[in-house]
Amino acid sequence: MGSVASPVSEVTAISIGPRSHAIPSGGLADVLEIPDLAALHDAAARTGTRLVWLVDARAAPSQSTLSALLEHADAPAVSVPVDARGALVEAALGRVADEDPATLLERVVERRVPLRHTTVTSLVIERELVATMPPPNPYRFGPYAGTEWTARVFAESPGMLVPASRVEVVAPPPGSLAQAVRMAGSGSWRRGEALRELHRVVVGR
Amino acid sequence: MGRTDTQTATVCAVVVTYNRSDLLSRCLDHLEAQSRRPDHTVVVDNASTDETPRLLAARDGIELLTLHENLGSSGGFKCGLEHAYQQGHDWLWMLDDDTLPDSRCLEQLLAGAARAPRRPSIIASVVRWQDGRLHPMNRPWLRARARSDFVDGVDAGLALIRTSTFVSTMIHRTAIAEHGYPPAHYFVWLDDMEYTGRVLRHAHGYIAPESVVWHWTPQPYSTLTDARERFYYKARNHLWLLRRGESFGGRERITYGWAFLTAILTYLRDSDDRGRALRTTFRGIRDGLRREPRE
Repeated sequence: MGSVASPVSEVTAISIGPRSHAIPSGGLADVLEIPDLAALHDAAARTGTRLVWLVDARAAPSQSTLSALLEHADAPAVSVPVDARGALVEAALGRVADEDPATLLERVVERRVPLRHTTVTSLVIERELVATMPPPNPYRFGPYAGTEWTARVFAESPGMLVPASRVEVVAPPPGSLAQAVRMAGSGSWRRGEALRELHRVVVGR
Repeated sequence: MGRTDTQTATVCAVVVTYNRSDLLSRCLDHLEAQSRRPDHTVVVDNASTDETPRLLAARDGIELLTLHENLGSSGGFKCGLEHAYQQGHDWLWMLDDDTLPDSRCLEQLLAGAARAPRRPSIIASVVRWQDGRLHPMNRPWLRARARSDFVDGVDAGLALIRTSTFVSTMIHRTAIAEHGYPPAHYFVWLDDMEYTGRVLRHAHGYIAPESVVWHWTPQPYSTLTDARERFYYKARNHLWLLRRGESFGGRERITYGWAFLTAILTYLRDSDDRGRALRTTFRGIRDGLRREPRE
């Protein structure tokens, strides 16, 4: 386990995008709504809590989603994205950081696994880290903005996927070809990931 | 059908040895000191010519299989596995003679098997070198791209794997019933990759991270840096493994083929005697392209 769990009262939820699901807000210090990831930086600066919980407004967290993340909030903690049947939504998961198996195995003992990047669907992170990192750029990267941003954030402070925390999501749509090409050039994806996503964009699946 | 339950499953440790009596003695001491001791221990002596036969004759609590000639670790493991399987044990725990398992190693392997989200065919330990790092020869091939199964494994505190080595790997008897035995004709190296790759191609295997063994080699070498003329076996077996195609398919074969090419280049580059290295590599490739003997 990462550390002693932080209390919910130390967390501000930030709902990103037009809301379609309610955030279970019991005990949270505050709930902010922002139109897209571009506003994340300013929103984080406005909060007074140590931790923020970034939630895609289309995602449906359960009562236990946040509490399971807070058990691991010594690092950016990410929920497992699942569909309505509970099956993993792979397109929203991101990538496991498997280049260092020694570290990975240490984290597995703690029931979590390091990520290189992920989409922003349910992520608990220190407010300070959000405020100090250059913000996501949805105008340049479209639906890949969260992936590009978390790749930078996790390079500073490794993010952890927490399998005990699940959040119901819809699969993210592919971006435009231009956005995918920009993303490929950003260095966030490995070569294989870039090729697969470019293929997905071009053939539409 | 074997039992997977931690309390009732029986475990047979299979240790293969050749001319390393001191290390073998320590290995057996560590097996005796397990918090959950194996129900039976089979030691396969590959026709050792040192103190090993005398040591084993004086040792209680083991069953000795003495081979009349050195069949290599591949032949030894095949013989030991076959013998243990026929005795009806549920789990067969494969160990090299230079392997020193931590005192809770087997207990943790069985605990891992009990909590696995899918019924495991293989459960393996973390293999460390003397200074605590992961042993380069036994670095795990994690199956992180099978993402749903991988995440479910992490949720249970287990890491899904694609292959493992016979330094501390526990194989369930149902896998042997379905897939048979490892290839004895490999003599040394990659027999474990061939076999566990074959078993786990369509089944589940995990590392239990709390189960730790120490692979007590003099140096933290890999199959390249310890190659010497034994690189012949790596080259030959690698080609057999690729050509047979039962262990790896599709993109895995491409990846493994690429690994073969880089291994050759690394071996040739790092060799002190380039001429001898070239001859060794040539012999390995030549024999690897010939028809593979089948048992």
